[in-house]
Amino acid sequence: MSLSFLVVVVPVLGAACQTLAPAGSLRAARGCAAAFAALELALCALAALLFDRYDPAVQLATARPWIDTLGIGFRTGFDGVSLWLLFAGALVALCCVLYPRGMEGRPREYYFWLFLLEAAFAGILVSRDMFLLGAFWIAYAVPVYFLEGLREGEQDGAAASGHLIYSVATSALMMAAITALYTLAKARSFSARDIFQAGASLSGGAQCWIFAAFMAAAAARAPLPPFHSWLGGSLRRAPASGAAIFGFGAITGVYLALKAAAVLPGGAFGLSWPLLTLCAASALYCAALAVSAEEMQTAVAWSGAAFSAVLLAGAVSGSVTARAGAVLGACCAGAAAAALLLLGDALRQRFQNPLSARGLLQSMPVFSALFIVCAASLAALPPTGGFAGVYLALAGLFPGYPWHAAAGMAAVLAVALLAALACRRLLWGDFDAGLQTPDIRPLEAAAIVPLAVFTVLCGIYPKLLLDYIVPAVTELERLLN
Amino acid sequence: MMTPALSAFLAPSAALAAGVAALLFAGGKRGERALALFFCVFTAAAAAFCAACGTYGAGEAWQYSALSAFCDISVAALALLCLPLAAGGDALSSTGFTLLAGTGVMCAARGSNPAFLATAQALAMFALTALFSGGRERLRAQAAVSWIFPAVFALALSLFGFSLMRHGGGLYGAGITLLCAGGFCLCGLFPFGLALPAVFGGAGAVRCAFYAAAVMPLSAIALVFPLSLSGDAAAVRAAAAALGAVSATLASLAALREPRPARVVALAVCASAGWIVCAAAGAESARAAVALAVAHAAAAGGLCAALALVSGDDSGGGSPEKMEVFSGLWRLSPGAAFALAAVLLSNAGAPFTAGFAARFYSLVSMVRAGTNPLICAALALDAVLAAALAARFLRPAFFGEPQADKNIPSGGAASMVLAACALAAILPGIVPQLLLYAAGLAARN
Repeated sequence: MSLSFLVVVVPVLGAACQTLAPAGSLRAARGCAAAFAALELALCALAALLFDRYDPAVQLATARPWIDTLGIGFRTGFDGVSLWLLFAGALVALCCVLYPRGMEGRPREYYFWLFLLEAAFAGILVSRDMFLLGAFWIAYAVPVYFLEGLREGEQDGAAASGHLIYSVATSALMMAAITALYTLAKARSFSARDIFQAGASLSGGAQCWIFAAFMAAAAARAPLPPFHSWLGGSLRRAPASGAAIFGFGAITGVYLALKAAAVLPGGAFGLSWPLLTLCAASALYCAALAVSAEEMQTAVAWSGAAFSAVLLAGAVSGSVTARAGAVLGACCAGAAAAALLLLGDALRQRFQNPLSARGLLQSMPVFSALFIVCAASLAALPPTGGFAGVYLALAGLFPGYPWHAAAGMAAVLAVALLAALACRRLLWGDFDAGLQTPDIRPLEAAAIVPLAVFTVLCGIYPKLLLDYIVPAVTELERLLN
Repeated sequence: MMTPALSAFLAPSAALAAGVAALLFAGGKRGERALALFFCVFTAAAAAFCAACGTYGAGEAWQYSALSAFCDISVAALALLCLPLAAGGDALSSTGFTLLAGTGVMCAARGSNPAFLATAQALAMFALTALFSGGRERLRAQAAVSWIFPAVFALALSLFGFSLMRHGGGLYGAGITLLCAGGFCLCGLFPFGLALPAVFGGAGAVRCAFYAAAVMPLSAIALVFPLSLSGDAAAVRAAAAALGAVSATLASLAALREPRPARVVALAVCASAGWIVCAAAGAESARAAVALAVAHAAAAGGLCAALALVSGDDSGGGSPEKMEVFSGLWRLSPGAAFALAAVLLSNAGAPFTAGFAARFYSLVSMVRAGTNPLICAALALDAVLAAALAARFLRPAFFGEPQADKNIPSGGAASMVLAACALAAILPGIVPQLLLYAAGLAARN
């Protein structure tokens, strides 16, 4: 059994173990969850150690027949892109489990769905079969639905239902695209290799339609306007740690765009201008929404969406540099956004209105340091991984599409301005001496510090990830040409 | 003509499923249960023996014909004997009805004469009328009237259709069309199945389960026969597929607006019928239709069992009025809520469930056969609507608060059926090759 298969199985086992935990015992549920989340991260780290970074081929792969009748197999494997996205995802999942506040009332259910979400996330990244990718893509929507609805009861369940239908609709488009790709191109099987070979043989028009369906699914997950309406409400409704992990899941949109562009080079080329325009407009629009947000969680959500739009532009731009930057940026920005959502929750526990807090640098120095680091990463400021990713994405985008790159840069600057204003107001405002606010507790710090360290490490030494990512992206480029 | 292999798979399965369900659901006396079990085991053995003779070709043609005729007549006679008892015992009436409808349609389909099929269709419709008119007092008349009309309609259409077919020439296509219309009535396809919600509203969950999980799928699969007879009359197949897609979409839309759970389930059954008919009209029709029918049977049976569970009536007399009856199911019975989620997700075609594998296989078959893309698009839309329908059940069940003094009995018959259906919905999703292999075996030509 290969590692790429195990990273899908372990979260499923984690979810199964939750059903065996004693009802109502938060300690047992969390202990079990932490053990499985740590095991998943360890598997990802082991995969990184065993992975030959200079070999662009899929590694640590497995292929088992699944539906022979249609040539569908349980084909999984790592490439340089999926390896680090999965590592970052496993890190975020572990931090979310360690975070001391989740769903205290229904811990078993909460962790059960959290692990199923992680399994679907891992499945999307390691799938080397297009049918399997589509199946995991749709399956991802189910745990998100339950995580959103669990918190507040039936009222929020209604809103979660809306998100579910929305996700299923765009996912159905993607499955239709996969079916069309398989049947129209007369591929021998659903394996990524066969689909890659067959996809390029389609006519330009067919490729454009199929690519558009893939991009609709990617845009809904990223999220990109006009598929963005679920974002603000969803992140507010779900528990902070749940929101952090499915907020991180938005990077699968970037991943799908990258893959779809490789499978359908004609479609990617034909739709590049309108898609990049949509990405640029979305980045500006989401940045504007972030600046005008009245809650910290919402501001973080929209900043992340603006960041995603820039990275999505990099992913479909056709430049190796931009694509490598998009993957690097996705890893770091996702981790930073997750950390900021957890920090926002920590602040909400201490202040009724977190945005009314002032002078936290004096009363909460550890919180302040973490906030500065994570906000800097989401605002693409050096020396964080966010900066490295966005810089590469925009640098790759600029030669071919200067106006789009400029719009992306403007959106990033707006988010940076927002981060600067937030820091000034929260950290350096007038300190209320009568307010004795405790700094973040050790368990909270244990959940947030690894994420902050990861983003800074990627910024100081991006070569660590790029050595893996660039060969994989170059291989995609070779296929595209 | 339907192949012996198909009947080899379906007839014993249907009989055994009916027997197990009758035993689990039946609230009657011990003797009644034993009799029901005897009928079911006899039917299963007879059907299996008969089908094996035909399938594996050991005997001569006369041997197959004689054996099959003997078994079919025996089964039909035993089933008919059960019907007079329909007014009293649930187990017997339900078993008898299911045996009559299921094996009648299958035996007729196995025969070489389309008239058998037409007659079986009409007989099954009348049996439905007899059975469902035993529902609640207030709705009894409504249910009976709702069924009698389509029954007469099906009989007239089917027999008239057969007589047209005999004349051949230009009337052949018209005859096939009318024969199909009779089938559409039986499996509840819109607009022929407009009566189904009223019937489900009036009958108890158990009877609905028998219809939804056994009769409708068998009837829909039996349509493979007249549709395959259409030969080069591709227009008939295209029209059937279009009707199936429209029916699925309309039924799902109607289900989203419907407040009563039993009627929602009825509309979900209509939507599934649409899918199966679409599959029956496409390439690899029998295999796709069987795979869909198996997935549908698990989902529909589970939904009806959940209805019986929350209404607190295992024998199937009650029918809840509002979706709120599912409120707080997760807190009251986590296992039942999880099983309900599994069957609902399978009904919606969520990945790693039987519904997903079967629907995807059917869609690929239809695309390969060059089905109109609009039909495929309508079916894809229906999948989205089915997700919305699942959310209607899941929302109160998982996020709602339980009603005061509400209690869900554990370990009862309905719980066991729900658990079995959940397992049947999940296992073929994880190992879909098993489902498709069995369906392929059944549809071997």
